[in-house]
Amino acid sequence: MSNPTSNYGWQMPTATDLVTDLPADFEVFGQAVDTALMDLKGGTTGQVLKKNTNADMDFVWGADAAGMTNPMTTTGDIIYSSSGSTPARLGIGSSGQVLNVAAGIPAWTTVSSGSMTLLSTTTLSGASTTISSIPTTYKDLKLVCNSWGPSTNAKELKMRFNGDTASNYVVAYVFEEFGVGATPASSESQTYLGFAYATRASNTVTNNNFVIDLFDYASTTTAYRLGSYVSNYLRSSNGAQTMTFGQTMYKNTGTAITSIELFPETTSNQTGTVLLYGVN
Amino acid sequence: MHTIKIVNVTTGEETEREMNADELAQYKKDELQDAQKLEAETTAEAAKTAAQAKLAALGLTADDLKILGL
Repeated sequence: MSNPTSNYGWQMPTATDLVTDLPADFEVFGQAVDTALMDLKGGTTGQVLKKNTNADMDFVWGADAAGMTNPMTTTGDIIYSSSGSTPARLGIGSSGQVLNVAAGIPAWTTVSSGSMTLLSTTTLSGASTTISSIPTTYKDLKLVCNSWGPSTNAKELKMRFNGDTASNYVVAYVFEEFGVGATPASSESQTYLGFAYATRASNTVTNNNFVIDLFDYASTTTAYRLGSYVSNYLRSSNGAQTMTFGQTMYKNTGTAITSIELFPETTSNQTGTVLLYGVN
Repeated sequence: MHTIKIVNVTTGEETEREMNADELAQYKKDELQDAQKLEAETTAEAAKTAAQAKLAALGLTADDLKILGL
């Protein structure tokens, strides 16, 4: 050991000091140690020793900063702030889930992907066909009508929802007959959705296909439920191909659409196949 | 009588039957509405044909009117 000590420079007796000088030498040594360790004295229960300045041996007793109680219990847990600064545990989600926000806090959620579910395949017949008890658990409905046809020429396809015969239907469309040009038209405050130029011709038609998307059909609050449709048919008499692009609106009477009636103009029956899909 | 078909999506049950009194009453309303609509369309079509004949008598076509912005 070096003398004075290598780290603190405390002076100790030397080998040549007289024995009678030892008490005085130890006083010098002891006082130096006492002074150096002065800051370690004191403190109260629970306090922690902290550096007071950057100077050597300069410490101060202080209160222990409140620590966080660990809420985690399981592998994969995540801590988030709940109720201000209260730590809370979020357990691990399942495979494929992503971290999202629900009601203002983090939450693991399953990524929703688009899908279509075939709800029914219906052969149209008679003066009217109603597809009823449609679940309201989807975002939209898609109705695909293949080879629709009236038993009498020049009859259009019509549609009603929930048996509603009030003037709650609006349709606007543009139809294009090749070689003739495009023509816009609309019908407001109708007691049904009529798809005149989507399905009707003045003579026999074939390949009459019709697809309509009914958006937000389960809403009970949206003022109008919107629809969008496309169709085509072929006049067998002259081979003219006609296409129609249209929009529909159905006034919301406070109930979800749970039934769709398809029917031709009166004095005619109908044929064709309808596929109804629920869309998410 | 007129036949209607009802398909229950939830149960898959299909029913075909004759229209009841209420449905038949609505059918009659629709029939009257269809007749009025057809008459209106026929009248409009006749008026269109007559107008085209008048144009032709003047040596004009509908395209000529479009060119003039009419």
